[in-house]
Amino acid sequence: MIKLLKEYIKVIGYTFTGLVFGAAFFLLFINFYHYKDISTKLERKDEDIQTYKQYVNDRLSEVKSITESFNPNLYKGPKERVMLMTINSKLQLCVKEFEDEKLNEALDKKELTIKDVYNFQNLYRSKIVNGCIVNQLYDLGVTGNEAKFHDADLAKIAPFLKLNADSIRTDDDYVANVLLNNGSYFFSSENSKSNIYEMTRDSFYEIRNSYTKSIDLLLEFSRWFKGIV
Amino acid sequence: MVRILNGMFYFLKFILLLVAFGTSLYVLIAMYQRLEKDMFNLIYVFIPYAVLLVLFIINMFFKQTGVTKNVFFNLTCCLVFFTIAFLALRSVFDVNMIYRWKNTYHINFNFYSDMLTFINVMMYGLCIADGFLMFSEGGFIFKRKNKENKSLKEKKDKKAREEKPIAVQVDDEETL
Repeated sequence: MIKLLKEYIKVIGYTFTGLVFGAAFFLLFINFYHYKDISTKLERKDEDIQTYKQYVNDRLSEVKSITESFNPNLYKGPKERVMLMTINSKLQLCVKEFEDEKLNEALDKKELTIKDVYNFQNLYRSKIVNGCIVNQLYDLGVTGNEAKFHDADLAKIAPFLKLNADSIRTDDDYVANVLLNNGSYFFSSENSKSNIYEMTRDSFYEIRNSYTKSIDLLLEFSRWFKGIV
Repeated sequence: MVRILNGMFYFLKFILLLVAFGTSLYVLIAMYQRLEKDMFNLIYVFIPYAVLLVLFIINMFFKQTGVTKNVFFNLTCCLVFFTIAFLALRSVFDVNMIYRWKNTYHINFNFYSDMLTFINVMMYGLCIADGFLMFSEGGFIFKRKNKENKSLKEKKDKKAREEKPIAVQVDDEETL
């Protein structure tokens, strides 16, 4: 009787050991695969990097030439000189933000992991969205009594400025939320693997599109500035 | 071969238990600091570690062969502790999990807390398995019985030695 009981105890003991073995084995390998999956790299073509770099440089040099050509001491037009000087310095500060070394490094990377995209998104948000769009251009888009300068030409371009600034401000919110999704997800599959790769690729190009939008807005605004001085 | 493997896993499980405990402790202390939780509550997380250590000591002390000479059990222990250490290290060093960058501690607490349930299930599972297996080969009673058998055997041997006739040295010249 005791022998039989011991046999049963042994079977139960082995069953528990087997279950724990299975759980540990599953957890270890699923994590190993997830680790491999999220290390997936997005490779960019040299052509793509060079073309985009050229596109950005062309626009930045145009904005720079506009700001450099304006001399407040020589200006004899009807506009308020303080306003023109403020706008000019705002444009110069924006160009400085666009020329940030770290941001350009992130933009020119050939191989991108999801962490690189996250860093790029953070840099873009702090330098371009906050440093240029919100801090420099957004208040020029305010109209009515709260407007900083009461100028007819500025009032005309203000809605365009505000609309674009609002759009750029919320553009990368979705990307930021999507990027955080890879931290707690661990059940790996072919589907999730491709999702992570697509997330890296799509997030990067989404942020880059927003970057393009910002630089285009800056260029449009500086062309308007050139028109009024 | 099996004996060598068993010996290896047997000692490895003690080392890996320490490693798993150390890495988990590091992550959990940082997590509790971050969440400003009472450190005393950490004790509840580490109860299964303590229980398992006590069980291992009992196994070793009473030489319970159902556990100590069980290759499968020792291998499972090694696998579980290795997995726990791997999960803790991954939450610290895996730079591609974005939550690691979101909080300032550079440890992915989100990931580790997801895994805590699995860790507890595995640890308590090992405790239960150890409990059953230690009784499968007699447990504590088996040893006492063995002791009794040993003392009986010693008495019998002694008696046999006493009853054995002493060999007498015979002089060759006398016999001739």
